[in-house]
Amino acid sequence: MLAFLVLVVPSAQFVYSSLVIEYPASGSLREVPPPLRLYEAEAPGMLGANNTSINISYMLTGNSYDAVPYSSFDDGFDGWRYYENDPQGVLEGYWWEDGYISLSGRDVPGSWLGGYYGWHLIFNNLSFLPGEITGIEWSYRYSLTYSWYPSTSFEFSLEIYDWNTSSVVAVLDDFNPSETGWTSRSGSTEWRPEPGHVYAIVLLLRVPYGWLLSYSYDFFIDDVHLTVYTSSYSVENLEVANVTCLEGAYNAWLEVETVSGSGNASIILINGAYSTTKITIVNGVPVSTSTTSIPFNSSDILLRTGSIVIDASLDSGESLEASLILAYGSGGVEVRYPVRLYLYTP
Amino acid sequence: MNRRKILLGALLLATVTVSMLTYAGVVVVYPITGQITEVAPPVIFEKGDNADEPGLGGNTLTVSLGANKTSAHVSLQATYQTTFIHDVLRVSNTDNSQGYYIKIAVEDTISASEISEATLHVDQDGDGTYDVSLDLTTSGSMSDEIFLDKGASVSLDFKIVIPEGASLSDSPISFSLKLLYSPESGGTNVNIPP
Repeated sequence: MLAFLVLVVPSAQFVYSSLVIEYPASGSLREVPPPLRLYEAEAPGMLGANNTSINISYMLTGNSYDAVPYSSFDDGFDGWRYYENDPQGVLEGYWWEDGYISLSGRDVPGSWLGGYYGWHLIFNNLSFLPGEITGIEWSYRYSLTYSWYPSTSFEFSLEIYDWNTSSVVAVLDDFNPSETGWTSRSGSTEWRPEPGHVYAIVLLLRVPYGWLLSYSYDFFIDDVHLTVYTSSYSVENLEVANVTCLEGAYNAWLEVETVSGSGNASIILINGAYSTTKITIVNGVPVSTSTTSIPFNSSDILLRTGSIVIDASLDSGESLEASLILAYGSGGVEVRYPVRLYLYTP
Repeated sequence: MNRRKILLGALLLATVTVSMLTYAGVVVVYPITGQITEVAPPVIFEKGDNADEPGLGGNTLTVSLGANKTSAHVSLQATYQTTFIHDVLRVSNTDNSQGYYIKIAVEDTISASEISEATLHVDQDGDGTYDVSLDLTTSGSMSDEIFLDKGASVSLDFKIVIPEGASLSDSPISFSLKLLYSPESGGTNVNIPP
């Protein structure tokens, strides 16, 4: 009996002798119409009642895709413009039109002894899907206009650079442009990407050291494509849903919730000025599960609308189902819309 | 004369009886003294990093604190699907000598038929996952205990789910909570008097 009391009394004291302080907190919650909304795009989709969800079902029928990222060389042209009398002074001149995404440029000054005033590069990473490649074709077009052409013509080449080995692994085209106006060039290559390597397509202009130092010309490149033919069904740069920002400014990104089935896909979110990194699914397994974020802004024409864009390849009979989230937010608020993607083959 | 004596005796008896009824107990009086020391509140509300930042629909995630940071009001927004509101309101332990055990209790719920889920979440250990959740749609519900170490702070995050197809309310939806804290584990289990 005594032992019972000894056990019970401290317990009772513990429960009822506490010092407890209480503060009030309150809040109000306002329900607002969705500022970011989903819409159907190239692929057939079933939109939710308030444009805050979409189910996309798409049959892959093609057997080729473009390894050059969507719109990187398509909306307008890129290139170099030389107006100076002193070529050494204009080697800063790589540039590209507004509205391009993902492009990078670099100048590599040359030397008199090296025979070049400098090298000028524009490059962009390539996107290869896993799977057997049966052929690769390249194509682009260029425009040359000049007032004074250099005494020694400049050289242009289209190359593939391997970031893993820091080396040029394929020279697709290499010549001295002389035709004025727009000229198309195309060809094929036996080169094939190594799995796991990251490659860039490089537009390289080499300006030679010439006797005539005064020259003035524009050299532009457009519609650069690297068409990859596969033994499987594939699709590239397919807009599966459009995104419109009706109010405010937000950052948006994609996440993977679940993936089932088999096949390969890469998924990005783009708008008029930016592109996220990719969600990559290899053999039905998500390798990367979220993208970086890009800004959307209802008052900026380049940032008002965007798209969810996919590349995908499936063998015959395969299907791939991915439950994605389109997330967006600003400061402390984050909104998440479900996006279901179902890909299949004939 | 005899009757007078009897009457006098009866009066005396009645007086003694009444006196005994009133004063007959043994009364012992002990002195009790005390003092109350008013101290600065060791646990306070604070604005999170995202307080007063833009929210949804042109609104602001407004946070108002009481004069002594012992009360708080938040103005939030949500839209269809799932809306998270991160780090607008924090609970901080400014006492560098000891930790406190806190709980959040729902007093007035978020009651709106179009809202399928309204929860408050706390990431106690800062690992990016929520450890404690509280259903804001159930009256009287109370969170698990959260230990707030000396000098520590936790964010009160909100998750609101409004299914597509529902009609959005034109008017803000009010709710109220209580923050309870105690220096003892289990101390907030006591029934709080109204």
